[in-house]
Amino acid sequence: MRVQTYPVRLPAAAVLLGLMLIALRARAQDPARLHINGLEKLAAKASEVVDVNLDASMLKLASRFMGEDEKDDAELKQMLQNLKGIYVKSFEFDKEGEYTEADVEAIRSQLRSPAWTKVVSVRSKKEGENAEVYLLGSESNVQGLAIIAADPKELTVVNVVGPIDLNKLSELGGHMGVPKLKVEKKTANPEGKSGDKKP
Amino acid sequence: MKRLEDELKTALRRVEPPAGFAERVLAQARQQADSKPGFAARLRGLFRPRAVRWAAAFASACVLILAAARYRQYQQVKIQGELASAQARQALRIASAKLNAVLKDAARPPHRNLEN
Repeated sequence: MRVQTYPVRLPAAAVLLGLMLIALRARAQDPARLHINGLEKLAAKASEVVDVNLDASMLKLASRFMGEDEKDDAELKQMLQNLKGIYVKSFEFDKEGEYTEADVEAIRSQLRSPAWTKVVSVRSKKEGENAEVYLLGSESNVQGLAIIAADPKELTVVNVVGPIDLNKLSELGGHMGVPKLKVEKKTANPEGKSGDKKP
Repeated sequence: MKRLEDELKTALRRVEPPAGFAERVLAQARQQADSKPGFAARLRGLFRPRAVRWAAAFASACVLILAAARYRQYQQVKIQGELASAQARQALRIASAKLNAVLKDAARPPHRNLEN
């Protein structure tokens, strides 16, 4: 019986393996991107819902349709062009207790990775308010932002993926109909947890 | 017989053409040569066959349909872009408002926060 043998083409196999690795790497999610789609179940109970899912391609498209004449639009455009994604889920409820601590914990647990740093945390026991700001990367080179704002009747999660200037983002409030706040950029926390690496 | 011969001689005698006959013949020949169809007439002649006219009409219709499809595609992209632009503004407004609110709360004196 004749057995036919085929020579193994090592260079071709190496190229194939390399391509597969590149494809896998491309598919790998940005570490700044959070999985917040689990919160969508709350939409049924909410009286008001804001759901924004804009990836890099949509942000580029959005920036194309922003005018350059107005200063605000030019700033926004510049900000959007560098970003890789903006994801916001905000729910307002008519009554308290419509979301559980587990819903928030599902997001918070993703922010416990060493890459993220909790920079501000505010808790109000009386009003039941809880707000946290997390950053990915160093303070001078922020590559991701996450904000969790949980009130008894409102839950908001913001996830910005990509390089973002926090000063500019804060200043946008004054330009876009929200009163501008003059706040010193220092982290202060009544519970003494300022700048916690992990929550 | 003599009379018949005389009559024939009279009828077949050489007669000189009237004055300017040769010029008139040459002028008429030149006029006929000049009356050949021009370039435009010849071009029109090319499109005389019915199939060619139909092909031209079909090509024009194709161009129009493609242009309409392209315009429709552009309109859809424009709507998507404007929607994305509005969403981006809203998202950044929320992010900015929440960030400012957290910073404002964090900047409060500790005793006030503890009171809460």
